[in-house]
Amino acid sequence: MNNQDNRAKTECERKEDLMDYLYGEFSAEQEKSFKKHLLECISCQKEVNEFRAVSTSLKAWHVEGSPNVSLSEIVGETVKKQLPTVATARSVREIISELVAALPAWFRYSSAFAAACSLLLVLMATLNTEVRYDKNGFSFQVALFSKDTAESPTQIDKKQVETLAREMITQMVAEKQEQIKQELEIQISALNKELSEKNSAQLSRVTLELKTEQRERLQRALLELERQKNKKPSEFEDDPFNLWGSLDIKTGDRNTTNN
Amino acid sequence: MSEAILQSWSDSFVELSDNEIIERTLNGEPEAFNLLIRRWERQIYNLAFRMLGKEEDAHDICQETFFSAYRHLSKFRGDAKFSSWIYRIALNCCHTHLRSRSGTNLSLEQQYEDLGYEPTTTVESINETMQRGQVAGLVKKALMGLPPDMREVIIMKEYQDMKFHEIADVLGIPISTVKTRLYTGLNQMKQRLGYLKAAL
Repeated sequence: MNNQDNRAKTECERKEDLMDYLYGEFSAEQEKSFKKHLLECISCQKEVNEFRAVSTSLKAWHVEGSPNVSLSEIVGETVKKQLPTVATARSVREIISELVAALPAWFRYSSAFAAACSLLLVLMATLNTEVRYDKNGFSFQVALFSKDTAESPTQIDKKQVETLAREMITQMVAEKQEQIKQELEIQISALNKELSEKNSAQLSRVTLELKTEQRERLQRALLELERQKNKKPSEFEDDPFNLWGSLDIKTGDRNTTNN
Repeated sequence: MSEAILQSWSDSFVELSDNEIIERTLNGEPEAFNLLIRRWERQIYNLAFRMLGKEEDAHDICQETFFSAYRHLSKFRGDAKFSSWIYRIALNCCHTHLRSRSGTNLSLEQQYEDLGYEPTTTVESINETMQRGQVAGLVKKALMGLPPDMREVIIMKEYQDMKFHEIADVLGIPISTVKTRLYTGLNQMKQRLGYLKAAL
């Protein structure tokens, strides 16, 4: 029965015209000409009616719903960053905040301590601080204005104590600063070492991954090449627009299509 | 408030062409790509659903298509149509998916011939005597049984309402080949629908 049908169709060679007519892609003149042909060609008349019925049937299948895809759903943040983006201007405050946040905690605290000591010294100098140590014990005095009285023996002692105290504090601060500096150097060197180790480990891992991936790709390409050997060359091959140029998307079932 | 801002931002893109949106995406506004997704996701989903016959597969293909498009956006040629490009990506994804589940081509014609069924029913009578839902079921089965290269042409012509030259552009084949495939595909559909109805 199929063979009979096929024989009947080969009687008319205007298959492509039939498609144009059926889907309204003829110009007015071409359509007029084909309509004239239809009056004479029973084979084409039959096919027009049958294909119109098939078309009506096809329209019965509706697809409901929508996938509701979003960029964040399909693309992770990492991939998003791979696209070129315009850098936005950042304020100085933001940059400083980021810089401070990046510093290690111990560095932040020791710097704060040094700054506090310096501030204390400045304040003491400004407020005419007197630090005394005598038979009554240790005493501490602050005054907004310095006294211009004659120096008594006890005042000489006071001055000596004050100088001593100043020297002591200066020495303490210097020692602390030296200690912080040393600690900082040790930490930086340790960090450098750690970073270098991490980098080399990461580099080795990435190299290994790349090699594996390349090997897999090569295998896939070889398989694909093998598969395509017995097939007709794809029309997509010369098209740089085709992302999967090497993959044949339409010859797969060609053998079955011409039954 | 933020929704209103988003809406106004989105509205400002509505008038833009596909190519202009792509340009903006590439120039540091990745969120603009969402508008392209909104614009084309339904068509791509419908195409994938009819190519594969399963909702979840269609959803996966849809995601895969837009993911590929986004990642390869810089390769898109500005002188080409985005619709052709995205359809081609989607179809390539569909074909890859179909290859991965090889053996699902039903070859109904052969099966029913073997069983001794006769396609005595015409397609006209199917439309007249069966309910729309039943016809839809038959159509889906018949379409799934077609070779993918015919199926895709029928889908693009009948459901996506594309012109012959547009289909040829997507598939990278001559217009005459598109018409021949459609002709053969419709013939096969006619026969398959007849067999399927007879087998009910």
